[in-house]
Amino acid sequence: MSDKTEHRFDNPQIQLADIPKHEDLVLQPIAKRYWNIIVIHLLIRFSVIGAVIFSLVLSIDPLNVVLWPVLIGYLLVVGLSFYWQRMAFPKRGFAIRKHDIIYRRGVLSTIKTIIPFQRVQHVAVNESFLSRKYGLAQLQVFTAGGSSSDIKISGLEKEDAERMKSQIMFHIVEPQQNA
Amino acid sequence: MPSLPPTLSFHEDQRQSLSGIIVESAYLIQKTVKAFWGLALVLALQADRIGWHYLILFLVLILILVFIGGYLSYRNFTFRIDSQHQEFILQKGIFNKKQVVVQLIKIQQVNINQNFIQKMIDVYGVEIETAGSSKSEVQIRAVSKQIALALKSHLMEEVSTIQETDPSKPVAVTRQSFIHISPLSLVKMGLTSRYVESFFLLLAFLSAIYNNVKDIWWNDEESEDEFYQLVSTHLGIQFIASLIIGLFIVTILFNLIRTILVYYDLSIIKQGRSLNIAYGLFNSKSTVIHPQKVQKIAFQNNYFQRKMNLYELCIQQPTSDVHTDKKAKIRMPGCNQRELDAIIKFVLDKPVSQGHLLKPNIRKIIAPLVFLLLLPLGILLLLQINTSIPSMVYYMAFFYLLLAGTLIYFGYQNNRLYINKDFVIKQSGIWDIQTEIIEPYKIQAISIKQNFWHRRSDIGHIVLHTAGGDLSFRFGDYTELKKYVDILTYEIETSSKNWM
Repeated sequence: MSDKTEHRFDNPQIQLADIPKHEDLVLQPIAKRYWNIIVIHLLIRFSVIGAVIFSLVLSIDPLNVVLWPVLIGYLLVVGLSFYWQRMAFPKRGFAIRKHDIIYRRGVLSTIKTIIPFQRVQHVAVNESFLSRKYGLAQLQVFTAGGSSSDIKISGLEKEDAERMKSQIMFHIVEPQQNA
Repeated sequence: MPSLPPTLSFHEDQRQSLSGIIVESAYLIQKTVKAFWGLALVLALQADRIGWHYLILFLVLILILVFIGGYLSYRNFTFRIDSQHQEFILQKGIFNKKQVVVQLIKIQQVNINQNFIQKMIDVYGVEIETAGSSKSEVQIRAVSKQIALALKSHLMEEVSTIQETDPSKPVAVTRQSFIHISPLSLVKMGLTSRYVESFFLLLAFLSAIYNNVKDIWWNDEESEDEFYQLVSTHLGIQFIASLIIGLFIVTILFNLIRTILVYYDLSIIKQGRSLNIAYGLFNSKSTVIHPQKVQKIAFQNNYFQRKMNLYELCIQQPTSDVHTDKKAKIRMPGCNQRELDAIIKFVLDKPVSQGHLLKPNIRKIIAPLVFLLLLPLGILLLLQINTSIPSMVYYMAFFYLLLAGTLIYFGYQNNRLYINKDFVIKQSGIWDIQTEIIEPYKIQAISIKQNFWHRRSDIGHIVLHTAGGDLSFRFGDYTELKKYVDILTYEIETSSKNWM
């Protein structure tokens, strides 16, 4: 509980206008190439699900009574999934400020999460097999606030992710050195 | 060898009390019973075929094995403090030896407990909680009171010498009695808490009974009308009424006994800069709260408790998972207003001030209104087109609508958020009104949300993530909320205080 520097803040008549506004930030979009990865993921998932469903339908129902309704339903789900991802893609954006990181996402409701660097527990950069092919990576930022407060930014340029990581790490270490 | 005098410095490997063999054995029995009760049941049912003497022999064999196991786990259980590396080292295991090393700096809390068996042979359990893991790996099950207290003070001393960055402040360990909750207050709390839970329990139980009774009558091919006639006769109503009253009394009694057993003799003692809390009739518990580690303070009471000036205080310490980790949450039922204020002031170091008030938009009530009122009403109206519904259902529906409407209204009315530089305070609840207090510098992250259909009406939600759980305020003025996100972010980033 040492507040040696607190006296600097003892007199904090800060005008509201002076406090930096997170809304003024221009959020950076994630890499356009990440869309390819999303499409490949969806295709793999739906071809597996489709193979299971249609082999079942064809074996159970030789007269093809339910084949068409199932096919239409299946295509509808596939189409909706692609549409959903297409909607979600441009909503994703991030920004790094001097003291914090911001990530925005969400289709029906837009969620913005701000994590001050001082509160970061640790940072991870993940690469999947596919993302490595595209030179992309995922940045994960963990806090002590539980899983609901952690952020996970997919589709970052590999170098950007590494740079963000080292910047955050630098800030985590810094206050302890000052103390 | 085992009767070495206990060295109270803990720098050398130390065993538990010799009577720890009994505790370890009891623990093993408990584990064995848990694992094999199914098998034991099968064997017991087949006892005639196997023969009783074999069964008893088998039981004796198991008991002998358990005592050998208890002895071995006593022999292999050692603990010490390595002050050079700042670690607490514990070795245990019967066949597979295991070493647990805890960095002293990671120690959150040292709890001294005594369960029923421990009470009988007069030993104490020591539990060391760390920040990383949710369940406490480090558990010493049988030491004398003297050793338990010495170990606790040693650990906390080592911890505080690491953490106390201000050496000019002397660590004055004066034990000062602070607050003691009288049994009468506990009785009052036990009688008035958890009405809502009891009510819903009752409702579920009654509807199950109702359905069963109805099914029986249906099977007997009696007409439905006749069933309702029977229900509405004097006998039926009397039966149901006495059932309701009986259940009500049972749930309240259960709650009363539980409250008294768990929180008997609840006392809070100031110990330097921390609070020592002890309670329990059969299972006595003792735990220490360090104000700088407290993440959230909450208190609640309801209409009756307000009339009697009683509160339940709840102090939340850091945890990796708020929902499963019950230990991080310390409840103190039965404080009065003055005691509550004193504890809060002690923990937060300054009196709470409310600051700017935010109230939710009226649209907050739309969802509950639709799902709890309009939807059931619509279903009822649709049903009555095709089937004849007895008038009793209409009366019940009317009462339900009245009740649900009132509850929704109160839930909305009681929901508010206060923000200022030092505190964020959320008030919520329908019957039990809860107030949660967090300090901005203890916030870990902030989320702000807006549904697309709320864009035009400028409504949004805010979630403040802390290490003691989330605090969320929904249906606020989005422009206001964005402003407070910036202010709170500024508070977090300019604060030099350590959040833990």
